[in-house]
Amino acid sequence: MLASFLALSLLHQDAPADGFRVFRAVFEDRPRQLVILLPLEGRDDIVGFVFHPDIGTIRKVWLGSADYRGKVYDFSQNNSRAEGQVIWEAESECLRLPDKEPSGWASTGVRFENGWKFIADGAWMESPPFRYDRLQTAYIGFDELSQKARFQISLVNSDGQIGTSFGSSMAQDSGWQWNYKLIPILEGEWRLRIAADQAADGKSVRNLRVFGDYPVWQIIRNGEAKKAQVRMMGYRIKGESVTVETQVDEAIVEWTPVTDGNGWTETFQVKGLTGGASLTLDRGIDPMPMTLSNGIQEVKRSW
Amino acid sequence: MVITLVAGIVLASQASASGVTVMAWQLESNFERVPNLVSGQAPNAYFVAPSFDLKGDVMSEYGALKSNMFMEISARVTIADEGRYDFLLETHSHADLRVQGEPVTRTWDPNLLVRSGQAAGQYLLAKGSARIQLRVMHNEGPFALSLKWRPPGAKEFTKIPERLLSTEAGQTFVTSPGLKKANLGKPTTAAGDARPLEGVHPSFELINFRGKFAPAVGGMCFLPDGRLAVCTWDERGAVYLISGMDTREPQVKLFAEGLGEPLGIAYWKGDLYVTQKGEVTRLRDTDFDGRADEFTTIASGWPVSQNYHEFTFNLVPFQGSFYVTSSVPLRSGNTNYMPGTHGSMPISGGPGSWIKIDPETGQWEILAHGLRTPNGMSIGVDGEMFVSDNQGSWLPSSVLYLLKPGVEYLHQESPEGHPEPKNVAVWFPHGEIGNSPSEMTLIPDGVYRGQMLVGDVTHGGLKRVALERVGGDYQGAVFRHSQGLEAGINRLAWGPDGSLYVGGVGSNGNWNQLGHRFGLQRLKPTAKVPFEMRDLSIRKDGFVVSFTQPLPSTAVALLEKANVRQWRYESSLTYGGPKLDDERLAVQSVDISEDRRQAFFKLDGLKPGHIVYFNLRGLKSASGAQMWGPEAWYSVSQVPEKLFSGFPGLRDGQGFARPRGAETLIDEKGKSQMVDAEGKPSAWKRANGYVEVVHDSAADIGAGDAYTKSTHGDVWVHLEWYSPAGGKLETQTNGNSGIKLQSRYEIQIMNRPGIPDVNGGDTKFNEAGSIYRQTAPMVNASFGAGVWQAYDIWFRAARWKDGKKVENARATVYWNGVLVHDGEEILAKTGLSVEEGANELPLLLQDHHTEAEGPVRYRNVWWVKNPWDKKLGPPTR
Repeated sequence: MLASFLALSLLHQDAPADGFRVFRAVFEDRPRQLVILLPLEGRDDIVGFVFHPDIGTIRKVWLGSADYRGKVYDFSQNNSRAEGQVIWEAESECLRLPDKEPSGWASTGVRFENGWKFIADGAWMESPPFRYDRLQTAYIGFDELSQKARFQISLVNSDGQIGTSFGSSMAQDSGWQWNYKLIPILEGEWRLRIAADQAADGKSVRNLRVFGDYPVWQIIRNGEAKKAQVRMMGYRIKGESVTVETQVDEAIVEWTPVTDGNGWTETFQVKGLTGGASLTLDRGIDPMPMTLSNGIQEVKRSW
Repeated sequence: MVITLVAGIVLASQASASGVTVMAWQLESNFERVPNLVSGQAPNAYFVAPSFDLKGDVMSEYGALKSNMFMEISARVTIADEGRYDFLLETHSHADLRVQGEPVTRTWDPNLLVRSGQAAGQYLLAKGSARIQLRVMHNEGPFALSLKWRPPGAKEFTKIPERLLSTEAGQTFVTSPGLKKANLGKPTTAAGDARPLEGVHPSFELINFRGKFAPAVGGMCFLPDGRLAVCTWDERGAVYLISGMDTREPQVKLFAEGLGEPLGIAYWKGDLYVTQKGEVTRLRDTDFDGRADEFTTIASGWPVSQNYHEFTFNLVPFQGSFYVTSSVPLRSGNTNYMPGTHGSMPISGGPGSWIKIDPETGQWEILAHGLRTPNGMSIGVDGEMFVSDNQGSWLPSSVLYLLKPGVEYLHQESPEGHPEPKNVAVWFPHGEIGNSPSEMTLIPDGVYRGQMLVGDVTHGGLKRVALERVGGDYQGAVFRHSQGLEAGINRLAWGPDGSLYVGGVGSNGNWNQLGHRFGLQRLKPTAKVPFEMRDLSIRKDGFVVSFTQPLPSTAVALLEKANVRQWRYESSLTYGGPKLDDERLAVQSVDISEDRRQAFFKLDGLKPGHIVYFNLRGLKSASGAQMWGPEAWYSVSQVPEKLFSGFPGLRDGQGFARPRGAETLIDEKGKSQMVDAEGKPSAWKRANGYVEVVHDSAADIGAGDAYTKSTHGDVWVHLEWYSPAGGKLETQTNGNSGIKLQSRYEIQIMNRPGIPDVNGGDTKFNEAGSIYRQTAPMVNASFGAGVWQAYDIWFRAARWKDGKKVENARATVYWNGVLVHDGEEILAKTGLSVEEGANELPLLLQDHHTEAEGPVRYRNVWWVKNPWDKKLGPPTR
């Protein structure tokens, strides 16, 4: 009886249908993502597109399904993710601490055991030099275990200057807890340093990384390229087709994805460019950036 | 006893983790068996333990719980093989065990465990999983508890393997410090007295209309055509349009879906707008198929991260702008801003903000910050905006703030500094009168007009807030209002039918009320007013408490023994905060006003920054009505310099002052300008400063009604009348007369008042103050029989066009200076009166048979025709 009641109460209003779906969500650690799921004829899976409003284009395409996670799905603090075969995904990480034998990383007082354990007083790890100043927004992310000690995480340059530094905090002592911090964009080379304030049994870190979003749009006027201002204006749905409208500098770019089961096609319709200006879109999908002028342009790709 | 149970159904999508969920409450007293926890109280501690083996003190953020501790311990256990399972519970505390919701035995001796330390039970369990729940009362001494089992085929009891235990993962459990309440069986207090109410306020009737529609309501608004738009905080992220709410089969149509956690919706200039996480979006149906197909981003860009707790709440269109609020991230390193740490978005004015949006350009600005979980926002009585914020780090209890640009509210955004409470209108003491306040709404009319109702997601129901201005700032009291709704309340919307629609929501952890996650109900006004405190007004030396009904003459003795306390909170990193400097305030004396509707409590030692709590347990009205919740919590931001100077003496017949240009009908000495039906001077008797009706009650022959010489349309009439005691209420012979506007619409005069409500009793609408046989007065404002009283009536005549009535007549009536009808519609002529028509007619005073001790008297009757044209309409409140 109780179990039946629980099941009923959890179902409440009907869940989203399988197949074509357009929805907004926190998706793979980014808020406000526009996720487009297009059904594939004769197949159970879908092709999924993640349109990122902050960069004005897609950042991921995959075949498979969506794993719905988060407060309104499974009541957890996770967020939704793609499941299946990744067709393409935008580069986003500038640095990651590997699980084992980190090349170029210096450390003392740590060992790997289901994450890097900080086992001695004064334990620390420091990355090789890296740059992240091409990102338009940047985060440091990591998973952390144990409230018994706190991490201090810093960016330091070759002169020993600290670019940014913060302490971590844990809400509870049990289980891995994910963290991320928005950090300022700093030019030049930096090393990421993580140190525990004291030795503590089980104090560990994993998935330490610097990540963010690269700007992808430029406007070319009189041969001069300039980073374009981007604003997602919205989207329209007609039947099982969706068109996303983005303002890219002075232009309006309408983007429509379709699939035929063997691949996918992007249609760009550009309006509003003046004075012979053009746009470039450099997402890393193609060997060369796309150039777009007023008018319609289609790009077909196979899986 | 062997109980056969079906294995539980577990939704594959629900997040789970290994372990056992433990919640513990520090009770204010011990119990000799497992008590019932008073609902709505957050636990002092929450954690996930690896197994059902627990030992030692329970640690909370607020210290160790050692004695008088009540616990709920639960988990699911994987059942690999169907069969008989024996369970053995070992502890010296009181405990009860349920598996799949069934107790070990229904007649379990509650003291068995304490005596022997062991109790056992058997269950037949099917393959799958089974839910185990323990409730424990630990009074004192070392705490230890162990639950073992003996699966089918096993010979010995063994520990339940940790790998087979699972519980909810990643949930948010709100905790709070302080002593909690419980009881054994029958509660020691009435509902609403130190525990939640059990029903809806008598001024509303609860109507269930949603059928199978089960929305987790994120926002609600009405469209001009009367449809209700509801957005849902669920996996579908939908907007539904609902019509026919007053039918058995309301029509629910899906308008849009795929929205990201919509928590606000508004209709503005012909379109629907929703607030999603980090965005305000316009929805349009461009092909008119009933479904939105164009989703336009109106505004975005304020700080928001992937953290689940960074909601964007509300959508309030106001003076050409939109207003939303954002909340701070929780957990994952971002819960608290400890010294040396920073949140996920170390941006001044980042998450936790009040945001103003230009809907035309999309430009936004952060007006104020330092909010935590500002789930509700609304316009207050004076056109200022208020926001409710939820208890947690830096916020010792939930709160209602007045929003002001530039203010830094209590939730810190940087490790530095320590903001002091600013613009606190009302604290909602945690677990007593609120846990998770949500949307608030102004009460548009009636006795409580200008006050606010506030929903609550986890404490549930509605709270009533009455504010006043002290030193230019708002502060005031919160009262219990309603419970018994189907889910914790998230959103409120007044419908065109005058009903209040309440939308419920909930989630896992304890962010829900009684586990419910959706709800949509209608609260239809009844015009009933229970006996309760209407509002509190602070003085330097105490409080004036206003009541909805007169107090008995014996009230002083009881009120002087009232339980009045005060305490304060302090903002800190700790999740929530305890009551500090909690003390009882001795009531020095109590004065009661002449109309017995107000009482002054003289109190010494009122302090700013404190909450003053009143419990008037046992007080009844003059008519014997019980109180609807005897408690009030007043938040004292400032103690005024003003001392209580006594209640103003009420003169008989108190009413409004005569304006310049008013025309006298009967003067203060009883000289009358009234005429009879034939236009001759009225034969009513002029006596010592008044005229009285002439009627031979034995023969039932009278001098006839008294008419004005001229006719009237819209008018303000002031009249003072005296109805002597005696007569029979049932036969309407108890000092009966009346004033008939346009000879058509009667406001009753009698020595007994129309009764708006006697806690569920029938409304009386034939007596004084009533629009005869149509509408009882909102409150009983009578001074009683044999006392001069006054009516001030603003009458708006019915409107006619081409011989047809296009608008009903309306009346606003003040009775002895108290509003009893507020623009009330008069649907038709009353009783045996002249038929309605477009023509103006005289006003008449009624000659009526009476068996009272004497005739009804009139004095000081005057009128102002077309008062609105002369800017002499009724006072605006």
